[in-house]
Amino acid sequence: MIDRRLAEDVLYAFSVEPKHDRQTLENYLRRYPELAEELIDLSHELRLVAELGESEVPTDAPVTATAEAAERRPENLFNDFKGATFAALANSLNIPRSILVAFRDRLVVPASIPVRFLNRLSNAIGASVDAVRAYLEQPPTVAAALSFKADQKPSVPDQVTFSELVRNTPLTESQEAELRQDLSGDDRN
Amino acid sequence: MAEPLLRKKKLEGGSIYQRPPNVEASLDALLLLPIDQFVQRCAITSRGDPKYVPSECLLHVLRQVARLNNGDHFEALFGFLRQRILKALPPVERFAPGDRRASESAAAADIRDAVLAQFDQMLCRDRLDYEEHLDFFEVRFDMAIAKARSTARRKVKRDADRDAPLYLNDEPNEHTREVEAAFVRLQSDPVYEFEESDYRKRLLAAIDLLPDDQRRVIELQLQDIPIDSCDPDTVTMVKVLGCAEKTVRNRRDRAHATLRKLLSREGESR
Repeated sequence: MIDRRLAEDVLYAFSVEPKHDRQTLENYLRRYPELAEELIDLSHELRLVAELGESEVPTDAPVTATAEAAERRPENLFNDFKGATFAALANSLNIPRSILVAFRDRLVVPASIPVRFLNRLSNAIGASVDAVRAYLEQPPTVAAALSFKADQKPSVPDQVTFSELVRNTPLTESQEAELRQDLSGDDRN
Repeated sequence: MAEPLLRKKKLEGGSIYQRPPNVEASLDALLLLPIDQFVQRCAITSRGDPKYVPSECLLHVLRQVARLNNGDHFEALFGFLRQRILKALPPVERFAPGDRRASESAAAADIRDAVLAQFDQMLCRDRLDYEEHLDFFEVRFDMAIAKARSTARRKVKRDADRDAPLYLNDEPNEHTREVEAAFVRLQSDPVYEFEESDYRKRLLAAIDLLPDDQRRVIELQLQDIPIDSCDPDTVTMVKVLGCAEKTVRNRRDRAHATLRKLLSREGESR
């Protein structure tokens, strides 16, 4: 029976290996067959870290925004749309409020937004398409994790695609039809 | 401000662990900063920011500050470190099939708490003496967090829904071509198209939901480890898991059937 302290050493050692490929796993399985289950479980965990990226964390610690970052921040296009006017904006676009919230908080991958929807949104807000695009291309407003581990595969921001957002949101029939039209003819999703 | 060397020795060869060169270089530069400035920079959360402090370095300075009993800085740095820990935990629940998301969130919250508790204990021990396991976090923070999560997961009692067996009534030998195809895509080095990566994430989150014995077979399959082999030196699932070939195949087939079900249900709910 392997000593628990040594077992912990082995598992930590495996976790910080530069690679977690077949060869590394096999080496550890050969050397520590008693820890097979824990090593395989850890291999799975490491895969999750490498592939799923980071969790979003609410900022309960002091916020980072420095003065210069604040200066760089573009005008919030949704400043004029709060409460009832926000709901009215969602209605005029024929989308649920939750989808509009995702846009306000910049949680949608900009490149995934169909042109038709972008046009509808800028018309409804009363801003140029470029202004809307510039707004949406800023980082999400929640303190979302934007970049993945530098030593991992190229990553996508911690945002959702337009089609994913639509799929995950309960819609009325007419909303669905409208959004389908946005999506059709646009193969970026 | 601090001794930059780690103490933990490698199991093989006995040499001392070193930080990766990029972490070492960042640390050298950061240790020249006045502590106030260092603390300020720890607030930066975007890894892309040139002033971002790697978590490995944040932890190093936190350990030093803790030993000096510098209350103010400790509190601030500890807050930032907690955020880094929470951020490093993979958001499995976000990619779980819709009808499992709530139970997964509950499980994730328990795991989070257990990881934080483990970390608190290690920091306490480190303050009193020297907790060598924390050295691993100064080498590859996110990966060491994966180890902490793995341990936490074993400790956490899954809630009733999660404990409910996932075994489905499908014939174990039912052909599961889609899942096989998905594995091939998961194994091969991916072209990182967004949709593809989204599918991979959902597949991984579904694998995470499998019962332990099935998930292990799948992980070994993803690592390309054969079920059995005539060569006595080959690492095989049969040897590693200590069970018969037929048992391994049954677990694999059940896992594939479950994954297919979970992913198709996911498709329907979207």
